[in-house]
Amino acid sequence: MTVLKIYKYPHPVLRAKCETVTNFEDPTFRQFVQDMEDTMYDCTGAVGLASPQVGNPIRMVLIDVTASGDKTAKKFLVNPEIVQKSKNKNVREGCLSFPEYLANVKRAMKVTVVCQDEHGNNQEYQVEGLEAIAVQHELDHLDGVLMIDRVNSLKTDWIRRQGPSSQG
Amino acid sequence: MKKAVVSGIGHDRPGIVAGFTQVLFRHGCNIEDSSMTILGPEFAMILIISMADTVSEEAVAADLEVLEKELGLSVAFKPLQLPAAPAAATNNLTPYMISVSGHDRTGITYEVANLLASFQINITDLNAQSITGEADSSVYIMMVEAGIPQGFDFGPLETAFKDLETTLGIEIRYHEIEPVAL
Repeated sequence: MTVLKIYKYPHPVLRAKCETVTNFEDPTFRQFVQDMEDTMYDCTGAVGLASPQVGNPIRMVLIDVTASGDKTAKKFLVNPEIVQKSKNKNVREGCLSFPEYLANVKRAMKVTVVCQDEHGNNQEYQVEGLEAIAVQHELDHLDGVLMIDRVNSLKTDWIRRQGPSSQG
Repeated sequence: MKKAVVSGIGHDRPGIVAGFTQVLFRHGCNIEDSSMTILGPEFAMILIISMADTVSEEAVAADLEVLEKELGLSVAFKPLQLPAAPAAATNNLTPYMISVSGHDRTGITYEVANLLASFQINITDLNAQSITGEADSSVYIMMVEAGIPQGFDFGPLETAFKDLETTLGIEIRYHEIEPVAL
């Protein structure tokens, strides 16, 4: 089991424009899939992790909004693209790369995402609620966009964390 | 009707707002606008008040000064000149959010504000925080709201931002604040 280091802002890897994954058989990639999983499930309460957060700028995120530790609920989204979005709502989210903060941002409550899974099979997911928020947050990471970029006011939308809560 | 701007800053404790506004109430001053905040241990307030022409500004100011001793406040009172003509037209300004972040160091606020001033860009709001970043470093985040005239040429400003990013090792991003029409 390998738990990777999670990079925090302002590490430059978090601003990288991530590369498309093409070789799903590559042993380095296979190992990285396992390491991503080990890393996310090592962070109590984490509901999502994007590859650049652990220093590898490729287009892959891992989502599990059950935060139950039951790994069968996980979804790897590789080369993901959001193809449909509902209207935005204000939500409050956290990020492992800003562990001390929460941010009020606008996210769609339902999204449809097309992607591949960790084995390269095409997938389409319709997700809503927390899972939709997590998908949008993690996909932002793949374009070097961070939650601080989605905040319009430090005074009202950038909140120091009081206690533990779910993060992604 | 005349107006004044009053401000008070002091170590935070219960009773500052009550003490301050009691003086204003006693003199029949109306609070038209106010802003209050806490930074570290200090509480700060700034208020625009209006009062009848018969109210003595000196008397209000004198009573507020008493608070300096009672509440340990630094108080300022300044009669407000009502402009004969409306201030420079602000209705053709578009609000922009300029976010600045990077490893904390002295001079970031000054350099950014000075650059904006050199482009005649007016800052309407500024908030900043130091947060803990990668490797426990201190990261400074500043969000500046500014009004930018329509038709503004962003080319030279972007070049100046890029130069400043390199010089100070910071990131500067900006976007228009879209008004929501409801």
